[in-house]
Amino acid sequence: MTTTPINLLSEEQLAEISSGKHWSFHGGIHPQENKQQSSKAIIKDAGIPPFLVIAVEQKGESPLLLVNIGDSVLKGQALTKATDVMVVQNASSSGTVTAIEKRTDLHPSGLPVLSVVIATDGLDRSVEYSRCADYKAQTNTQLIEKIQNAGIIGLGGAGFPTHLKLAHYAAIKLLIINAVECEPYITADDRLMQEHGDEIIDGITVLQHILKPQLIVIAIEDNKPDAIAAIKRALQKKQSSQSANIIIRTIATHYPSGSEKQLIEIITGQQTPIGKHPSELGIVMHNVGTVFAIKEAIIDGKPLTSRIVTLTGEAFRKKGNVSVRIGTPIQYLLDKYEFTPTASQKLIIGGPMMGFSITHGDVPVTKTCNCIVAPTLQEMPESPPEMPCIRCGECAEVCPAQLLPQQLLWYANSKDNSKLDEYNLSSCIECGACAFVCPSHIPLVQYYRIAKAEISSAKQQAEKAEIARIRFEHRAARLQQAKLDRQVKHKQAAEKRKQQLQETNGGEDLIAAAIARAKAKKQATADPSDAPADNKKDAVAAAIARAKAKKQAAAEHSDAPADNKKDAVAAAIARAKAKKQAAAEHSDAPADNKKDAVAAAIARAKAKKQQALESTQINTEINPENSAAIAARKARKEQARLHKRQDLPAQIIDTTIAEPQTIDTTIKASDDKKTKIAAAIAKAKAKKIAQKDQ
Amino acid sequence: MLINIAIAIFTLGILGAIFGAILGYSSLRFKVKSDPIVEELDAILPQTQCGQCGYPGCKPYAQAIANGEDINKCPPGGDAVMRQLAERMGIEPKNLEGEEKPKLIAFIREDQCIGCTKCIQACPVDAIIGATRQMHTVITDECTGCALCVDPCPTDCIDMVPVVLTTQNWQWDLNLIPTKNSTER
Repeated sequence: MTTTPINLLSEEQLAEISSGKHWSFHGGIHPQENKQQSSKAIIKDAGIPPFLVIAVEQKGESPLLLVNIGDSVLKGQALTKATDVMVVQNASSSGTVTAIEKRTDLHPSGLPVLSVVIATDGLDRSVEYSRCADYKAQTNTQLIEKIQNAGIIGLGGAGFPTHLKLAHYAAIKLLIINAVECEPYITADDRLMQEHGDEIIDGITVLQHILKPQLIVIAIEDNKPDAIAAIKRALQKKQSSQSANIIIRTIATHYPSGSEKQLIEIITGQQTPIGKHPSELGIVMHNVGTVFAIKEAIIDGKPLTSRIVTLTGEAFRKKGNVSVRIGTPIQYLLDKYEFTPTASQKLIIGGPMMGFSITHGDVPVTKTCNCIVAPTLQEMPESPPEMPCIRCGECAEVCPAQLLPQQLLWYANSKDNSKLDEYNLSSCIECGACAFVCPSHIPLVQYYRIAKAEISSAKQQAEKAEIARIRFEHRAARLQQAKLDRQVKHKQAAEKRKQQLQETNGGEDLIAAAIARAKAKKQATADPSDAPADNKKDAVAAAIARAKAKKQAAAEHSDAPADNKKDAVAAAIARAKAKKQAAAEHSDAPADNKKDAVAAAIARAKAKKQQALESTQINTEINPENSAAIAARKARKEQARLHKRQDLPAQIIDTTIAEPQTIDTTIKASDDKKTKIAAAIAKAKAKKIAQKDQ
Repeated sequence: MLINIAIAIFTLGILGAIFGAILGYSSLRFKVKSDPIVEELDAILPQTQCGQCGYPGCKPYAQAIANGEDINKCPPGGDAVMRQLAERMGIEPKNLEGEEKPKLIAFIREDQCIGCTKCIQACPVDAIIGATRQMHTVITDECTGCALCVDPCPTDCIDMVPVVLTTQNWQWDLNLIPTKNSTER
């Protein structure tokens, strides 16, 4: 919403409006009104339900809660804190907060939203309302804040926060009070005007004080003569200099004349440009119910805790308008007003044209719930099955926004969002006139609602994608920068190190010196013809020569000592050998004993191992590859077969004991042989036993 | 005769110099820095930066498409994005490579988070906040659902959960099974 006025109403236009001229809008329909069902009875209080469910979430945002579970609350007490756009939610009766949780909201989706559940105590004690006789002494900001704290939103149906609408009070030339109530069945505003005309005029005076418009028009459809009369009476009573510019405009009954843009067209003859807000034309519109709530909030100091709901439709035994506390479960109203469901019973919230149906009564009445219609099938027959569009164009003739519904249907079905935009789907007010006249019974509005939701979610996604792209790019840039920074840092650190090294070594580069040295060395070894290498070689050669000469000399000079030496060595070796021999001979017996003992131990161990191996092979029959084992097994088997009834275990033990001894003797033979032999022995034994038995 | 030829050469020479100067100036003045089609393609892509196309982000994939890469490699964008790409590139739509899945967002089971920061490093859009040995959490509004944080997690404490349905993102659905019994009449 922008505040820059682009096309403010001129003085001439205002004069024309006040002179009584009025216009009309394109299309529109005349559905059956069915208002008589509920418009006769006076407004009754619906009473205090056992519990209240007050939804605190607004447009998906949870405000700051001011109460906790277990707190006792009074009627009119603020449950939430107001923010810029959010209004305060007030308790609508006294009691105890029993839960703060997600509860099903009065929304076509039937999704739960954060709600405060209050168990009422039936006393309906309220906070002290501070009456304000002289509101004119207060500034606009104070008054608007009061309205926000009273929790007032547009009570006509859309629920736009009133304080936001009032915030742009600068360039308002025309204030329209919407008392049209063009939807069939609904009579809440009608009854309100009949019974509370004076309060409504007071509310209008408050708005007049805030907005200071040049002209105020109260627009009422001509099907509410009693309401028109009541408002007229109230206005005459208030006749003063201020109310001089308040006029009542009776307009023809014509659906959807209560829609904001259509009513502006009726009253002023001006069309609000697409995407513009009426405030840019210097026009603001408030529902008559909202005006009543503003009066209560400003003059009586009462926050919005209840609203008037029309209970109508043939399925209600007791029809009429009731003042319902916000948060009252619909089921409570259904029970109290004797709702008798019939076959295929529908429950419609709002009017039959723009409302939505709910499937159960376990949802609370909200501030925007102006009507509950419970029609019987006779009253509101099922819509016949949908047929293809025959492009008759009747929808285009009735469309109050002058759109082409048949084209929109076509593009909505093909999900062509750009074309839908081209055909201004966003200007559709979802009034349902097109679906009402459609000879093919196409629920056009439903298709548009879906398409609108899809477009808005596509828009949201595009916005999110854009944010994601920016975040991704920023991250990539950051990482790149970090990498560069790191490189620079490393380079700087390396340079610093180099410099430090140079400084500590008196300006000499140690590494460079070392490299130079290493190079020089390499050079030196690589080139043998170098002078120092030659020197060395020569020296070596000389040394060898000297050594040879010396040796020679020694050999010649002292032959005997050298021989002696040799002999001595030989003798020493011989001695050592002899000693060894002697030692071996001397300690022959013990050493032999020891050796034998070791050998015996090894043999035993081997035997044991072998025995264990064989016995396992025999007993468990797990090694079929081993022929010995197979043989032994066979033997054993045979033996077992023969001695089934005799003392078999003893014999088996016998063989197992015997085996190691036999093996002991053959243990030094090769392993293969050993196993074969063992097998043979086993076989032989088995045979022997068998023979013995026979 | 000679003077005529000289005049003609001179005139054409002047003209050539003038036009050359204009062209030279305009080539500098109206220089196109990058291929505009890449920007357009990038705008179509869903910006999840998930890398499922095999490129490290949406922009590199847009660049690749401009260079002739297949247009059907973006599962998060689904059929709709593929068709838009096909239209923009003037080529035939293809069947999507990979499955089109409903949008998910990452959720960190915070009691199991050990604060290793690996997911933070993996997140292409900086949608995870936390610090070393401090619990991490996902900024739900910024999460693109790319699931790149799931694999690096050493404790497997990141789940991809569906977006919570609220009254704000709820869509009318006419294709719901009607609960009304038509024989009741």
